[in-house]
Amino acid sequence: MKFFIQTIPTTSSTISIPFTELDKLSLRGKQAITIRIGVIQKKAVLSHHNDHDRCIYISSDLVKDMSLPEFIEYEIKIQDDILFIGPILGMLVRGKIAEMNLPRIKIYKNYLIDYQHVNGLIVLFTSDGINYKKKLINGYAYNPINKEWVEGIFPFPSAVFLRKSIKESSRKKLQKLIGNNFFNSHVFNKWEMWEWFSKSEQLKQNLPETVLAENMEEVKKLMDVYQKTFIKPRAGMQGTGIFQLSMVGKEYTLSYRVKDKNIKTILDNWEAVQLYLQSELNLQNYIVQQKIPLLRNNNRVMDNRVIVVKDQNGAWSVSGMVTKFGDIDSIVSNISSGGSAEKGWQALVEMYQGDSKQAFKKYMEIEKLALTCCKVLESKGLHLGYIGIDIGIDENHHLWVIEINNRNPDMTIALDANDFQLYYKTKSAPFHYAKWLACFGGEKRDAL
Amino acid sequence: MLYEVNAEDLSSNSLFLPESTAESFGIENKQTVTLSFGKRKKPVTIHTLHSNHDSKILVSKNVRSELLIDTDVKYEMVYSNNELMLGPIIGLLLAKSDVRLQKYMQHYLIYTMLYEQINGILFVFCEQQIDFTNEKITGYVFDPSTPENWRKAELPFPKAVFRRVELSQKTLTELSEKIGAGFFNAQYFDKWQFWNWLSPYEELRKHLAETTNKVTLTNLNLFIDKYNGVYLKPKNGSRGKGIYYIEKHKNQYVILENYQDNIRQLSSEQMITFLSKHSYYLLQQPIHLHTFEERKVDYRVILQKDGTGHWQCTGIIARFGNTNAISSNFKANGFAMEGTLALMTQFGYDELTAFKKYQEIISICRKMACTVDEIAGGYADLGIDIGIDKDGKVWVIEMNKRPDHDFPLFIKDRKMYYSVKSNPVLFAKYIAMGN
Repeated sequence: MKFFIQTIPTTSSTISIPFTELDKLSLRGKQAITIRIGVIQKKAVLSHHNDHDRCIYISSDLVKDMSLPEFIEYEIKIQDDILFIGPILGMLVRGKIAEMNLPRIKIYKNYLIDYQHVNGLIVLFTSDGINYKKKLINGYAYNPINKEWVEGIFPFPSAVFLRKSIKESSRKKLQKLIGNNFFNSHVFNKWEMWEWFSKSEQLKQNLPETVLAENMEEVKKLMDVYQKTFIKPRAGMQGTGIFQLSMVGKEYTLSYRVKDKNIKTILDNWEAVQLYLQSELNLQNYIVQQKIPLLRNNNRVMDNRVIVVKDQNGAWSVSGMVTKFGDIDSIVSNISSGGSAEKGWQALVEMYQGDSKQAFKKYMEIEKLALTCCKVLESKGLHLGYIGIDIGIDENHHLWVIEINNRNPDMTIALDANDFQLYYKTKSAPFHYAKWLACFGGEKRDAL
Repeated sequence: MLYEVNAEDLSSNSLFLPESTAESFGIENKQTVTLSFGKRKKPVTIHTLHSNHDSKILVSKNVRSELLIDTDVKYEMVYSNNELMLGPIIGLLLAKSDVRLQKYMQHYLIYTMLYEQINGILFVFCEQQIDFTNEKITGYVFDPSTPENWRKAELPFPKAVFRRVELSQKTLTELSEKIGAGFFNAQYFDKWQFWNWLSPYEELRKHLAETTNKVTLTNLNLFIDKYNGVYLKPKNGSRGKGIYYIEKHKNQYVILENYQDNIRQLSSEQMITFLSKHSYYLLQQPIHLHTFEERKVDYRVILQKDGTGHWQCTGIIARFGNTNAISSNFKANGFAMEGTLALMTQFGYDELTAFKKYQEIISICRKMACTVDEIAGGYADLGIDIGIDKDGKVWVIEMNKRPDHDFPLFIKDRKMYYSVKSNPVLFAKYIAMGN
């Protein structure tokens, strides 16, 4: 059941709910009640009315300094004797409040395509729009009727989806307000990921061996064992700035990509390699990784982007998979580097030449590996709502975790594979999860 | 981590655990813990073992025989609240008799596709193999090392049982008592119970066709006045069999029977007699499904619980029915199509509108499934038939407790088919390993 809220200009600290709701919420006979809207909690006199069974009246002193838009339908529930009105959910984005305008924030509406199953108040805001003291936000609320953002002052939400990284000091302030109910705030790099995952019993066999580039002795050892390695920026994304180093006899080849062209530099010996790398790259920002002989399809490298989201029940769930194919002879399989994409299932069936049983088993093995990655990240204290994990398959069909895209992973990759349903599913996931965090999730019904 | 269990001549009630494992669980040498295996448990003394085989555990022979531990498969272990759980042990109740079980053994292999993620004991059994006195079941354990892939074995009562066959009431009651909440898809219910349980919830009722089990002329007229016509349906029928559609023209009742060409006309007196012959039927509000090229369309929603322990939609398949049947049973001259595609085809939706409708359908079905879970016990595998009327409103027609798993094959979707078969097993593991 969903309700409209009307603010009545009185100072009686009263909330009036439809008479029919009293029994459903087991509130009959109660005179006073604590109400909670977002993080704001107030004591109120409880009253009831017979005007309209989908309207709640709140006296204006209870919602002082803020607005609860009347165009929104709210859900209500009782938990620990507190009447919750909500959900009140937030999205923290980059920029300053003064710079925000409707055309600029239009893109964020993509997260609300399934608003019909979220309901309540969704507030878009920037860091400078937060008033920590009053627990209020100057930002934009979503109006589901005309599908537009409306500026105003709103209660601070109970759960926040972060679309930007934040400083440690802001993290502490957020924590004080809403505990652990904010997600996607952590950004980690490839080296941190390797350090965490390599300690996991279940993951270490799926990780390419990795060392820090500044440690040239280790790099040399890696070269001696594998002959081929990748030099990757710790914080890089989308396959940019990746070098491949290969050893043939005493000679080394460094290959990389500049403007859609594959470039090769031949270096005579290890000293030359060392000199070259030390002068050309800031090695502190790089890792070196064993090159996995990934499966190729017509000479195009392929790997799988597995999209994992926290679902409406707060559980990790794989929403889909896209297989990426690199440009011919390119060292990476990124679409931005001239590659293409296909639905993950199709690609696996082709890989197994139509043996759908084998394809299914591999598909589920990939899912399991991706879910294990999520669980390990979570055990490191990272609160994530969705991530994209790149998992490669080698010539022996063994799986390898190549990369994790955790900073606002780009989900348009689903569109590259022409999978609109996957794109919509992924886009709508963060607010379903936020709703669950705000304790308005899961399946519930109201008795007559 | 997987463990092999060996039974040896050790002092009774002891269990030798690799040091590294004991350490990760926080179990001390000489500590007494409860070892559980399926529904059986007993206290054992732990001896930590420094060895190179950190995936091997040893138990005394009495422990193996009392708990009925099968030593030919590998297990996972979970430790909490002083209980060391060896598992999973999952039972699939699939056939009516041992003879039938043996006959279809090779078909059941499809449930074992993801065994590499399941481990432990995954077995199939039938009613007559349950020994309530000794609390054990003689079933067939999946064991790929044997030539037939299945091996007959004596097993303890498992923590998770998936039912997919008729059972006597006595066995149902007893087994429910023994297994508890881990016995899923255990209770079957008819169309009347379905309406009775869900109609008290306003949010759900608006998606259900009004139904009564009082098949009287008064009620018949009431429904006809309200809806211009009424269905007369058996409580338990399926596949559109035995359904009548009744209208009234002047003082005559007109009866159409599904899949029959003849139209009968009855007077009020004749109608009373007709109804009295169908007193165990239901009267139901007719839903005017949106048609496509004169074909009735309905959607089968495959709703299952999976390894997350929650309801998920495995897929939706639309049936475009025979042009003149009163229900959309597509097996008689119809065709099937994937749900999203069907929504786009039937209603001319774009991808986004189809997505939203799809989510709406899932959300309604999930709410109903959760309610049925609360009222009748745990389910994890439902086939829900829904229809969409001319105004785009979603109607839930029926909930099948032993749903036909072959639907995905009608649209040649192998992945969906394997998921349908695997999800109940993944869910069973979630249950069996204590979530």
